[in-house]
Amino acid sequence: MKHFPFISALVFFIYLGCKQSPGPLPILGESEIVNGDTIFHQIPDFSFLDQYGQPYNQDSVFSKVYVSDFFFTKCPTICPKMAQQLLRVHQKFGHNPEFRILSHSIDPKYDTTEALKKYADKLGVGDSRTWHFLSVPKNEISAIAGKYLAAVQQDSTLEEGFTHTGHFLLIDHKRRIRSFCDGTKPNEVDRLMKEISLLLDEKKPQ
Amino acid sequence: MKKNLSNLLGLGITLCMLAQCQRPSQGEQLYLATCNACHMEDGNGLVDLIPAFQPEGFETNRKKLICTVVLGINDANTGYFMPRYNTLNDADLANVLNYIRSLKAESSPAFTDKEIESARQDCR
Repeated sequence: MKHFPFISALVFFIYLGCKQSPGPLPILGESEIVNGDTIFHQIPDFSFLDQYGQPYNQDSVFSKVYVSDFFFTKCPTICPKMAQQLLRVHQKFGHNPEFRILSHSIDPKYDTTEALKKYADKLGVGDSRTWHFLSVPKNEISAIAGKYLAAVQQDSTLEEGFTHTGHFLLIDHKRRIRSFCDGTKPNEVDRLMKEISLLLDEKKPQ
Repeated sequence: MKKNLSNLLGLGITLCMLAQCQRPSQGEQLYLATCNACHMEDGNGLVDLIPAFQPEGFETNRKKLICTVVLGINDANTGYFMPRYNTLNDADLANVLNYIRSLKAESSPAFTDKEIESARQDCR
């Protein structure tokens, strides 16, 4: 009985610990200090065509939270598993006007806007205003992938011609990378979806 | 002592047999290595992008099924694409198709390497 206050305090602190909300997600990528201000890595301005043949650029994601990935429609390795997981993300957040998914195709020769529309239709998201399939010109692929810290390269030894990572990158409303996960693993995507909710809850710029 | 040794030997053989039973078949191993990425573990594919295996293919369209694996699909009109797997030998192809049969069309007849060899001649 003499331990009662100690046990009560312990239970109380454990309860507080459980209730404590997780801190903000880190800001990833290299940052630098300029005139005393920290400048964080940011996705630069871009402009590509989406599956509707419409220009899609930095203004399209202004103040949005989005998930980005790199793929190509003929990819016979990791892309279908990535698409399967992005469908889960779309199912959960597709209705949210503050959220987008940007899937960058790295095969501009085959993945025309028409081919991307067919691909989206087959996934059942042909009419989505949330999920945009972007055709990236060949000479811009490496640069934009690098800005997302994603590894993408041509590989003539492979029949499909490309290698790329299966990561999903989570970008905040200031175009900063806040998290990433292996887009082929359901448990990692579960975690990313929790982080998407966190970012959507973060105060947005006025 | 001798009896104990023979009991131990019997136990060892039984355990080895059980371990053997749990090892995936060659067809399953091939499926996981070459087909699973797109067709998924259950063979149900992904929405309309990768259609589920249809049991009819294992009953009545067997030659077409074999040729699809050998030649692949590259249809710009529909946007369907599948790499060709013409490097699989007849026995491997029979094994992997029999594994898919076990998932989707168990009652259909088993593929043999002779059937694959014969169908392969006409694939074009």
